[in-house]
Order: sequence, then C-alpha cells, then structure tokens
Amino acid sequence: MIQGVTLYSFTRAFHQRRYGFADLVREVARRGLGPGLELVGFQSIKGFPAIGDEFADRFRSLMDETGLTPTCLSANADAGLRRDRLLTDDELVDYMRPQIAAAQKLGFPVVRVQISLAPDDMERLLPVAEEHGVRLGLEIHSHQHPKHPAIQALLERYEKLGSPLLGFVPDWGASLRAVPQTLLRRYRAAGVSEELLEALVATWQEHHLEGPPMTEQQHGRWFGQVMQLAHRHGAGDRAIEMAVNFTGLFGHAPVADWADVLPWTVHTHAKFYEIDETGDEPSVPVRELVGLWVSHGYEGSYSSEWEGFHWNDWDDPFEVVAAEQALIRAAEGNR
Amino acid sequence: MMPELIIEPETLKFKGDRVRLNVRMPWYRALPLSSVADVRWTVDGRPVPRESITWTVDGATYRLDDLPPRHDKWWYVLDSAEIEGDLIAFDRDRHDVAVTLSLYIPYITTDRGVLLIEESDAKEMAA
Repeated sequence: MIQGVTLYSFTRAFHQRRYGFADLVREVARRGLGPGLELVGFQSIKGFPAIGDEFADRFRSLMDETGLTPTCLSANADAGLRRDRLLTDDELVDYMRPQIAAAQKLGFPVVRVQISLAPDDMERLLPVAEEHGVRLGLEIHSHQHPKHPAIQALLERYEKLGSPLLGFVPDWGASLRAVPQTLLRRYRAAGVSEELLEALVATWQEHHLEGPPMTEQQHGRWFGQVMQLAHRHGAGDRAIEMAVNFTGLFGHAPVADWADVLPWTVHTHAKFYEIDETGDEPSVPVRELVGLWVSHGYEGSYSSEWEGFHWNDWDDPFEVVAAEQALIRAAEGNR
Repeated sequence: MMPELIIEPETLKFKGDRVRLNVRMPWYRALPLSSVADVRWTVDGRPVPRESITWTVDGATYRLDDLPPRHDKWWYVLDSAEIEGDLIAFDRDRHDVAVTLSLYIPYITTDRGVLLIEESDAKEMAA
C-alpha cells in the first residue's frame, strides 16, 4: 500500500496563510506523512484547472525535492455552477476535461471525480482518461454509500465497460459508528444546549438503525428533520451546518457494504475525525475498514483525510494525521 | 465551515459615507462568484444597505446583484474579498462588526437543490 495524506487535512493552516503551498508540502514530507500526496485542485492551485508550465515545473521539482509521490488530484464536478440551472451532461463532461488534463500535467495517476457524474458521463470521460493516461475514481462520499442506487448503477456500467481506468474512491466518512465527540465538545463550548445535543445524537442513532438512505428523498427528509430540530431549539443559522454534519457527513454504511466496490477502488480517502488516548478513532471504524480492504487484496493508496478541522482548532493537524496513519499501519500489520 | 475566519481582524475602514471590510471565505476551495448569494453586514448594529454593497476580488468590483451570472469568475480561497457599502461611522474607538455570508456549494446538489450555506462571524475592532 501507499500511505499518504491529502492537503485538505491542513485546510485551516493553509486558509490562515500559516503555510504557503510549497511550505505545506515540505512540512508533510518533513513529518513523514507521505509518501502519497493528494490535493484538491480548486483549493491548492489558484486559477485551477489552468496549470501553467512554470507551476507544473515547480510542482515536479517539489516532488523530487521532498520524495513525495502524487497519488490523487481531487477534481470537482460543479453541476451547480450556474444560478439559472444545473449544467447539462455535455457541459459537465466538458467541465471535467481540463481538470483531467491538469492531473496528467502534474503527474497524478488518479483523478477523484464526484457523484454528479452519471454512468453515461463516466463512459464519455473514459476516452479522456485514456488520452491523459489517468484513472478516474468517483468518490463514494456520505450521504451516498456503496449500496446507493447511483453507486450500484456506476458499478454495473464499470463492469460492462471493463476498463481499469474507471473506478471508485471510497471515503470512510460514509461508515461512521458514532458522532464525533470533538464536535459535541465544540458545540457545548459554543453554548448549544445539552437537550439539543442529545436530540441530535439520538436522531443520528435512529438514522443509523434505519441504515444509509437509499433515495435522495429519504436523505432530504432527514435533512429537513435535523433543520427543524435545530430550529426548535433555537440553533439559528447553525441549523444548516447541523443538518449538513448530521445527515451529510456522518454516514451509516455498514463496513461490509464496501466489499462490492473494492475490486474497483483506485484510491481511498481514509476519512477520520479524531483519535482518542488509546490511539483509536471512536467515530470511524478504521481497524475494521482496513481489515476489509486488506482481506480484498487492496494494494493501492490511502490518503489520511482529517475532517475534524471544521470544528477542531485545538489539535495539531499534523499530529492527528500521524496518529491515524499509525492506526492504519497497525491494522494492516494485524491482518 | 470556519465561520470565525470570515471577518479579517482590523480591516474595517471608514471613508466619507462609505465603510470597507475584508472578508474570507468560510469554505475550503475556490468558488465561482455565482456562488456568492448574499452578504448581510452590520456595523455597531446598523445594517449596511444591501443595494449599496460592492464586492471586490482580483481587482474587479461588482454589485451584489451582478454576482449571480458570474460563473466565469472565481473567488480563490486564499484571497480576501473587499466589501464596501454606505454607512457613516459612529464616533467611537472600537466598532462591532457582524457579517453573514450565504454561499452556494456548486458540487453539492441534493433533492433540495444546490446546497446553500450561511455562515456568520462577529468581531470588534478599531477603524
């Protein structure tokens, strides 16, 4: 396997201008968080997806200097780019082309793409992937999950096309076992009432028993339910964020559900929120996930993706990433 | 996401009947200007009239109502947006500034449409 990290984990430090792009990459290398390096194009590179020759040269030199290996370029399928309407399929396919070309120019073997792309779109992008010699991995991200009809439809198309250039990027955030404690700590500190916190957790647990949503309507109902709950408790403009967190980020897929898509997995987002004093991740079942990945012979890359930064401004992101990487290595070794 | 980073500390400026402030994006990646749905802004509890607000990134200035069609222009995540609007300063050393940004997230489309987030920040600062 190739262990590594996505620069997304360091969003807060980058956003606060504490590290420029090159310095952040160097810090990742210095702390031994590679060798795999992933980045979000629209985050790390101003003007993306246009990549100038000078930037590409500097990026390749930076990889040589640090010994890091590009694993995945995260692209975005911005179907909601316009206010008057969603992009058409033709427009969305065209929107992805320069992002795929950017991956080749920077030396990334995999491009993460997103759920707005339907099976027909992926089929139309296959020649683009072939032209640029990269693999396309559609991210399976909460609130979607491996058994979601949209993912199953893609899987069916992949099996029909049989190309090694089309696949998935599983994101472990689709398989939480508990609400992150650090989020509850943050809400408490911000004065959110215990009653609301208990009700949010209880609602998440009810959804967990129900299982991951099989339709967009079901997810929509859950979203509305959390919004109403938050408003009833006077959460004000935090209500949207709560609904996004509790129905959009903290997914309910049983670990075993990933077995279907592992043969088509081209890269993995080892999403996590927190590491406790025993070195475990209380909300994401990292050991079980790695166990399943290994038992299916996965030998690809893992990007540690720390999403706790949304609310956690007290932990050192480099240290929590190192701790998750140690957990992944231990889980691999135990197999 | 990261709403406490919206208002850039100590960037409030008054000039004549106009007030100016730097704001940061409460999101992690570049967004098209068409994502900027609304800006609600008060200084010392007094709202800056929406129709008077201009939005400047990368040296180009727009009225808020001119932003929705601009899916061809981008707000990069490390760049401050400078907002400016009509307001005459209260005569005091420190000012209470509050900003709410509403942003469409273009890759998250759900049954309820394109995700619209609303993030707020409030800070006290000198002008």
